[in-house]
Amino acid sequence: MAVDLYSTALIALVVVITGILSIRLRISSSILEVGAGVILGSFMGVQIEPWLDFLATYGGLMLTFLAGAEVDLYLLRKSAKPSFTIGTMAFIAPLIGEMIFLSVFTDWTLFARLAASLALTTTSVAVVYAVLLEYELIDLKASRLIIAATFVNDILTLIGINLISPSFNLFTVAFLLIIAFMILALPKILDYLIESYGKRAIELELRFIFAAMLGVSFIADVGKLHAVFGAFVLGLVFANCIHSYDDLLPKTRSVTFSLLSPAFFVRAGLLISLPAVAQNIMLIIGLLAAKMIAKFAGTYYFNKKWIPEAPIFSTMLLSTGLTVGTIVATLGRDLGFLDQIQFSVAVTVVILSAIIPTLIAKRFVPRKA
Amino acid sequence: MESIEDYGIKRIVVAVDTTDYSRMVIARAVAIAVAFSAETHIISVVQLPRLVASEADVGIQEVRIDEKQYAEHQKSLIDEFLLGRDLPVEAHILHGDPSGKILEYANDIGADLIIMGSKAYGKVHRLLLGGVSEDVVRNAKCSVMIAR
Repeated sequence: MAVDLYSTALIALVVVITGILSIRLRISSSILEVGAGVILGSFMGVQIEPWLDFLATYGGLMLTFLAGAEVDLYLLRKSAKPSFTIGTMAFIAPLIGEMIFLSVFTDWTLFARLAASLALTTTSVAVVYAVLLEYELIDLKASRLIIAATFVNDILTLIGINLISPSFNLFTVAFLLIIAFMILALPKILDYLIESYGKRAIELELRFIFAAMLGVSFIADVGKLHAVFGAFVLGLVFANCIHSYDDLLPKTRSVTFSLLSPAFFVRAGLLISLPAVAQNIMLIIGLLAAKMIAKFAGTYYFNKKWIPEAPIFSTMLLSTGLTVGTIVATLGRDLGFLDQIQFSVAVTVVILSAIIPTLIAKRFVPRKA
Repeated sequence: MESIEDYGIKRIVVAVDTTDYSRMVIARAVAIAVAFSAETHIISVVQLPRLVASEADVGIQEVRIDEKQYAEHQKSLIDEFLLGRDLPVEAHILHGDPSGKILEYANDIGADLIIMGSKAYGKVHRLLLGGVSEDVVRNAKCSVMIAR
């Protein structure tokens, strides 16, 4: 099949421009890439080509894998009770809140409501981490607890996507066995590969990570667990050993964020319909409010109990969402549960949830002791 | 009535990155610090998005690597220019919007002077986007010296 060079060149150029703008204007590159996708699709006639579908799917899987790989399991173990309680409430409360809101105000199908609600349960680790860094709070115990709760929230959302079309078969069992094997064998395999073949231009260790990620995602997919779930679980397994190698995670991130992630976000933008966003502005505001109110109702009490120095700040940070939310919404769209209008609404709310709660949180920054 | 001592320099904030250019910036700062027996506060800022960040903009491990590079560079500057001098020195690594963080730090410690470098951008670039040094010059509550 011939490649449409007009679209290809335009997208490649736009990815460079959004990269420069994100650095110069100091705005999230992912949000700019979604915006660029909207402009390309709405005003410049760019269509989604098969190559973009491939790169975006790969990008979505790598982003999910990295979300798993960034989880600090030691931190989770250290603050298990509060982080699991807060993280669980940060997942369940918006799931219920959004389901109720969508049931009352829309005629969306059950699975459309579920997919959109799941997309809005997330908390963005990157947003939370950046805000804590910005206010030099990252070393506080409270901050570590917020991050741990964010990890729990992400884990539950990625487990929760299996609520969409729940099913299992023999491959589900195979997936579980492979993951059990990986937990035991992965550190040794990585050690062997890096010692025997590592530190070369061909980057064998990176090739192994990509192969393992795609293989496990495939088994998860045929095992009716969704490919992104497989990628996330493998990322979690990697989280135990990837930090032993200084340059492995940065290299994986470089490949992901230079090529794959822009494709994912530009494609998400191309799937957004501007008229649908304009026509559903009240629904978008309502969904955002429902997310924030539900997060508040679900987590404020526990934040006040375990993070008494910054309960509103913590609650607002737990209301943020971006990458994982966009991944879940895209999954809902790719599975056919969300139509273009519903997807446009869901992703717009996800992006707004990265901005509005962050701005509110910054008004409630706790003082360092 | 104010005396000339009221215009002395007691605290200097020196903003450095990891480039060789920062050696010249710190050399100027040390020359002034020696003349006034001033405290020298060396700061570096790990840049973060101003609005919100995604995973592409901030990685936990990358931030640690940046912090390590800044810390090593600050130490090498201190060893080269301040070691053996009887001057109080502090070094800090901050995170966020560089100009905002430099200004905030200078205000917090009651700095009398900020010294920093400047990249020579064109007029169009400055008009559209401004720059860290211009932002600091425009908004600082103390004197600012751009080392060139």
